[in-house]
Amino acid sequence: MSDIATGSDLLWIARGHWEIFIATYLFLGGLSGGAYLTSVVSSELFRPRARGPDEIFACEETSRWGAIVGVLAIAVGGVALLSHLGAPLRALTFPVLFSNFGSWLVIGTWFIVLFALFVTIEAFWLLFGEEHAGSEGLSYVPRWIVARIDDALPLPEGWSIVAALDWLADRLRPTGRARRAVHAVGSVAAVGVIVYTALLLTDVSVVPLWDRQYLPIVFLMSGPSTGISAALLGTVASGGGLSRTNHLFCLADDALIAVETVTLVGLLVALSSGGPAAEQSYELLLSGAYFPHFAVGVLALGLVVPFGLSMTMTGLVRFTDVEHRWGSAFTGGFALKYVLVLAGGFLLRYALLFGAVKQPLGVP
Amino acid sequence: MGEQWGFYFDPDSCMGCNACAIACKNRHDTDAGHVDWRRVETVSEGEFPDYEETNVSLSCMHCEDAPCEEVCPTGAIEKRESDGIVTIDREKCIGCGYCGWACPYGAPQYGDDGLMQKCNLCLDKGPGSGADAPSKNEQQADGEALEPACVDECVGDALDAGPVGELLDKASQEAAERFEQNRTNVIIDSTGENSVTGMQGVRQATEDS
Ligand code: SF4
Ligand code: SF4
Repeated sequence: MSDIATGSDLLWIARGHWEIFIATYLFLGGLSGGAYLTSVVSSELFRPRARGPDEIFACEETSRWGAIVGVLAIAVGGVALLSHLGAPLRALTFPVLFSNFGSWLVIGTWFIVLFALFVTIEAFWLLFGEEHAGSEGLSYVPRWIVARIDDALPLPEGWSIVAALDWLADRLRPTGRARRAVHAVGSVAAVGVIVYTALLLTDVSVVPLWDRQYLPIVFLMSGPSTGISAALLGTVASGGGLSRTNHLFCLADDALIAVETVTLVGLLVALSSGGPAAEQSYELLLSGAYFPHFAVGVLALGLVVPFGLSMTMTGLVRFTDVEHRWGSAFTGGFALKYVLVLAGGFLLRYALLFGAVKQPLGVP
Repeated sequence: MGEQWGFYFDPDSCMGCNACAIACKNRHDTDAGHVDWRRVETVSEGEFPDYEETNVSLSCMHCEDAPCEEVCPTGAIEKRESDGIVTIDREKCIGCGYCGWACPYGAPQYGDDGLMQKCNLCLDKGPGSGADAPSKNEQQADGEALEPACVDECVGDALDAGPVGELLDKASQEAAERFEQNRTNVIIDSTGENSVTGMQGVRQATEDS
């Protein structure tokens, strides 16, 4: 509690039960859900309208990157969560052990299990199958890794893991309506994961920073925003930085950033006059110990700068032709924007955990 | 539902000597240093010469609505119907720390094993004990109930524990009225200058907001 100014006649309650691993987990949960949504939007909305090989390539790379990032993020997030627990192995028996369905930890765990299933199968379908054999694209790295394993293993003549996975993917992959239905259910699970990471916090009524009104909206914006950024960072790396797909996702991300910023400002205004614990959080985030993380990292570098950068680039793309002359500068600009959004998204969770202050007890 | 048990605390009589906290540590053999099932905090007000200090001895309040129980994923925490004592079954705890956040009083503690432990109103000795102990009412009828160590060792008679009805008989009217409006099982007396209204008020404030 040393970073809180001890006011008179108030008894402050210790906090800090969650450390950086939980911040990482909350961040990766939102990012994972957002990356899956990005993948689905790219496959369902953008891909059917894509014209020309470059656009088709950018859409497909975005779909694949979204799914791959989704799988990686939820896996690493899960490990981060487990590593924080006192009894991680016991937690693995959650289907039996987690009996309190009124707890957001239990509801969230089931959302994660369901979501992990959908995002993994999506990545599998997008990476394997006859049509993907011999395809080009940086996002095929997982496929390439399996092929290297194939080479390294002393398999009998004619045997191949890649071929087996291709065969399986083609047998399991639904098409048309069924595929859309899978995407719809997966998207519900993704939104569930994103929103639950906020509700887990807002269910704690003695921490005013974890505000029930504002926080779910902040997370609902930040999850997809970081998801888009991670997936499109992949697309940019694959060479799709100047594609229409990238421009559209970047604009969608800007809209999310705008709503997130306004909501965060609303939260700060509410905190500034919300009683002693709220005011302590306000101070910690805007001028105290977490000023660098929140005011600089989240507000300035994670929201305002990427938004400004994106708007400038979008304006230039729309009204001039400099994009084609300075292609690599634009590609670098988009990559920078996405990296900033990702760093800001992590710092947001970090600041929300470490800036949390419990209502003190009054001793008049 | 059996008779509900709770604590009584009178800040006017508390000298801040920490005997209660030490007695608790000794009885339950809790980790040295960072695990405190009971702690004494001093709250100051004003500046010299108008300076006043109030000592507050705090432990689990065995809340009537137990927010810790509501968030616990595994059902390890139980608000017992039989005596109102909130217990923790450490065989079920995964050490997620969620109860630590949910508790308005900072009662849940996490020792070296990372699992939750806290006051069990001396249902039994040691971390996690008491989860399956017979009701305090039964223990008392059988003459086997442990007197809470903190109450036993309190030098100034500031702490007491027992069935809430009995505690209310000894409390001032103000304290009793305040207790009726709040949801913990701790009766805070306010016979003198010092009252710990916030211990009850904070719950009210968060629920209203
Ligand atoms: S004081 Fe804290 S640990 Fe005890 S019952 Fe209330 S919420 Fe649970
Ligand atoms: S730390 Fe243990 S007792 Fe507390 S909420 Fe988690 S599982 Fe339940």
